[in-house]
Amino acid sequence: MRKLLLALLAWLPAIAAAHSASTAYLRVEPDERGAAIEWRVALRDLDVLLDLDADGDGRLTWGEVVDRADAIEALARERLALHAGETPCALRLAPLRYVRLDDFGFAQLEGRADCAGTKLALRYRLFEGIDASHRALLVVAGEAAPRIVAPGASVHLRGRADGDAPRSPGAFVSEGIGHILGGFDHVLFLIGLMLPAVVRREGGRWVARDDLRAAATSVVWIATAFTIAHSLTLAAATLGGLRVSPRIIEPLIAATVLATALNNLWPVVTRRLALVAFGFGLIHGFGFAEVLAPLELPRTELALALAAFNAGVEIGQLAIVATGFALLAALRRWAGYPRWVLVPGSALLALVACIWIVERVLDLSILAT
Amino acid sequence: MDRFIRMRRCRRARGGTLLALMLAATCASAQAPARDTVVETQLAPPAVKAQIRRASAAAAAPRERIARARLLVEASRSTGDPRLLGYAEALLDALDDADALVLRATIEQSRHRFEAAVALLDRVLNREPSHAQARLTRATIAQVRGDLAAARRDCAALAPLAAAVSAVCTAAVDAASGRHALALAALESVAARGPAPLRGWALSLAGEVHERSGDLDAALRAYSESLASGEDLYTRVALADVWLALDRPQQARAALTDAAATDAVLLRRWRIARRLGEDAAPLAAQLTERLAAAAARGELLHVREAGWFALERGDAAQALRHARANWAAQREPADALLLAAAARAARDAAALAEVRAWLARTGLRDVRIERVVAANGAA
Repeated sequence: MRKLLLALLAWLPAIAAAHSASTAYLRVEPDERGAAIEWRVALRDLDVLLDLDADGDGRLTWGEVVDRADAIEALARERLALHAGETPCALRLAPLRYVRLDDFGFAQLEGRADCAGTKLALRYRLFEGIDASHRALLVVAGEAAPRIVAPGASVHLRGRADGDAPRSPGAFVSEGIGHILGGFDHVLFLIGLMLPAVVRREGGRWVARDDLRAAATSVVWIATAFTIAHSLTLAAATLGGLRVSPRIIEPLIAATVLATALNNLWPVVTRRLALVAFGFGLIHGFGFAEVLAPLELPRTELALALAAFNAGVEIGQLAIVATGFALLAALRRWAGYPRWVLVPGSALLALVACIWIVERVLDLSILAT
Repeated sequence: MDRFIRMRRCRRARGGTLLALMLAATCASAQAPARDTVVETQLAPPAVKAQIRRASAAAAAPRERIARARLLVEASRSTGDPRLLGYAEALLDALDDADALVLRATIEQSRHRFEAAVALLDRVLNREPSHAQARLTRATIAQVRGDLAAARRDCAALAPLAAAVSAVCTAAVDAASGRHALALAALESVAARGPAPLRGWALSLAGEVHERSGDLDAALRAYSESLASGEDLYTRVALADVWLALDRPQQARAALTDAAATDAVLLRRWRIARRLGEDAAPLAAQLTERLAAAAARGELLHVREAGWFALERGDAAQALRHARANWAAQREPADALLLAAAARAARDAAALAEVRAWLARTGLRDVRIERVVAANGAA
């Protein structure tokens, strides 16, 4: 009898406090080359979609899961669509792993989405058209709160969503300051250049420079040359579209730090350091460009943003140079300066630079960030 | 370096913030178990899996989709698995048939989105005033929300369509208005003569009336008989509650054997473990995680359990917050009891006065609530 069947249904509200609906957990850390991802999907959900329980005994063993790893990965490729602009990202996945959350088994898929574009977005389609109550809890690196994503939703991960308000020039100035102060490689490069400025070479030994004015002039020239150079490449990269892959630029930036440090230990170039600063500055400029590029600004806005960002970089740089020079000026007459500051400082710089080169070439993590 | 961001190792998330709990949930460490390790036992029944795969393979005719959705909603009711409601909802997407709308309303109702549910039912009843299911579902929602007059109207309108259903429906409203004798007479009459599903419902309601009157032995009998005429999770939880009230935790545990681990069931298992002096910490951790996950999804339907859990862990202020949020959404006797108990623990006179006013207005009689209200009044 239909009506009685219906009466059963009406009774529903009382039991409504049901247990967890289908929830997946997704972590995404976007970077210049795409994003690192970690996706946790309930095995009971995968079983509904892919019928993992091969022997049909109502229990899943890990063997039954990994035997269908190909199907699970294919599902991830199809339903977890990351793309940069119109270009889909290629998904590289590590072998499946298992994790238990809230008394349910989950498959964990970890990997990288490779796509060097600017705007990074995600179209989440797990359970689209099948389970209207499925949700992914999305944690994006650097965001304060997780986002709740429904099947079929598109989510911006990096880059400006169309509806976002344009950012103010002030924001780009502080972005520039933050970038140079936060990017250790630029700071260390400047310090490396300045370390020998308050001393001079005489008969194979370092002696204090009496003329502080001359020392200041040399530092100003070095900083100016560095600034002009990186501004040139920053402009060429953002306005002219001249791009060099971070895979090349990042190790090169580390190499400039190494070269500067080695030159302090075994001086080869002692004059015209400003020229060296100019050449190396060209390389650093491409590195700065990688910060602005992902924002994908319209052209008119981009010029302004570029100027503001560059101004920010200069402010940060001036702060480093002024503080550094004041310290060095105070230390220069100390007889132990070459022995206890210049040489060990440069050696430390060289060591850090070497580690960076290895890290950046091999994509390893040696130094904690 | 900032440009070389990699997945950072998850730090141990601490504190009670939503984000911390979320991180804790996403930071449990993964492993690669041996092939023969059992990694999941709570799978959807094969019939349900077949349904879903068939449903997703091709768009079926509306009739067929509604029939499948109905089966899924019923399966969700007996297993307590809300994922089945999501499958049903997807099947019903964009259908405008009266039956499809009523099923969607049922799904909304089970998520405690009462206004959305009522809007759907109003649409059906405007088109088709004699739709018995729509009428009954709307009556039930009105009662859950404490609108007893509206509930009574819809129950009465059911009489020419399905007399026995109308009688049970009206008896439920009578029971919520303190007319216990009247309600019991009607329920016992249906229980004696009605068909099985309706008998189960009538007996379960009778059990509630006995509990409100303080006659726990009669409540035990009614709930047990109800379960004999049909498996039902809600009634099993109610039965376990009576055993706990009688201080018989072993029997309470037996009543919940193999029950799906809903929030309500987990809360009872936690109470039972504590009562028996067992280690209740794992259950408490699971409940905490569960409630946090629901909150992270923005769901409110777990507030009643969250309120009791906070109260029994000694966090009266938090319990009162949950109880108030719950009271704003639904006003069944069980909700009034939670509000009264939390108000008493938090010494909140205003909340307590609200419960007293509610008792006076509806005529609701419930010895458990009266005991709490009186104890506080004397204090």
